[in-house]
Amino acid sequence: MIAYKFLRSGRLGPFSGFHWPDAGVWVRSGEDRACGRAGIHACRVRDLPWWLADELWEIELEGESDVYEHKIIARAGRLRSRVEAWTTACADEYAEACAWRARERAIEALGRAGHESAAVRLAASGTLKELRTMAGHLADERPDTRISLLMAQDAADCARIHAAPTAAYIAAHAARRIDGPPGYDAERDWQSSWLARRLRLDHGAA
Amino acid sequence: MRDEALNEITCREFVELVTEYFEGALSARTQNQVEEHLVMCRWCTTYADQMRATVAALRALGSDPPPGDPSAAVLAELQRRREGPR
Repeated sequence: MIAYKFLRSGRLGPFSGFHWPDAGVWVRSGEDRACGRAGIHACRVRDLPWWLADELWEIELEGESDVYEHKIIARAGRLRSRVEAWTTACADEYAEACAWRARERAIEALGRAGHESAAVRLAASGTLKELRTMAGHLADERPDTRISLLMAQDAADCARIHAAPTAAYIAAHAARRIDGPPGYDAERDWQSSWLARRLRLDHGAA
Repeated sequence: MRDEALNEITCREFVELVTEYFEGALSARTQNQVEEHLVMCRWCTTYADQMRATVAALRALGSDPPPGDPSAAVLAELQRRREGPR
């Protein structure tokens, strides 16, 4: 099975600190427990938004695997190749896209509450800085939509400080606030699709 | 409060779980939730790093007993204080 794995710079496991060997070298959980609890942790495309880190690798998994809500754990795995398109700049681009998605939710919240002119003002923000300022201003003006507006503001802040996972998290919760759990799921699907498209990931992979 | 519908943990819950997390004592499900939280929460990541550093520093102290007879020194100090200034 082909899947994906995020690592810290230098091929380090984000949580285990395990130093992954060169591409092509098998790592088996029973032989090297330092590689991770109970096995090799990996992502399907749909899991990517939950596990962002410095490096993204394509990984080949072997043997039976346990499937969790947002990850797969296999008995063995080997890195195949690094996804070179996943860079700091790409992570920033993704974070910004998530911030604009959070803005769309805030615009929707304003529209539903009948604040059409405020929605137009928020939609006019063209930079993250403008989004941040306008969302904060409107949050004070329109307390009935305050939480959606503060979510948009926070997402803009996270994008500006290069916190892509947090911007994505906020965007998903902003969607949940508007459309409930299906909104959250749809936003996470949008995020994984964005990553797959931007990184040209193989949709035939896990 | 835990958001059961999303299977997420909060920062407060992370702080409560961090020791068990370091010891590998959490269920697979809870450990996944903790790690998902760490990916997106810089504050808790910093907290976890600080906890790890503290644990490492304490381990580095070793388990050598303090020099001399601490109980005798403590008793002598207590005796001195009870007698007060002269």
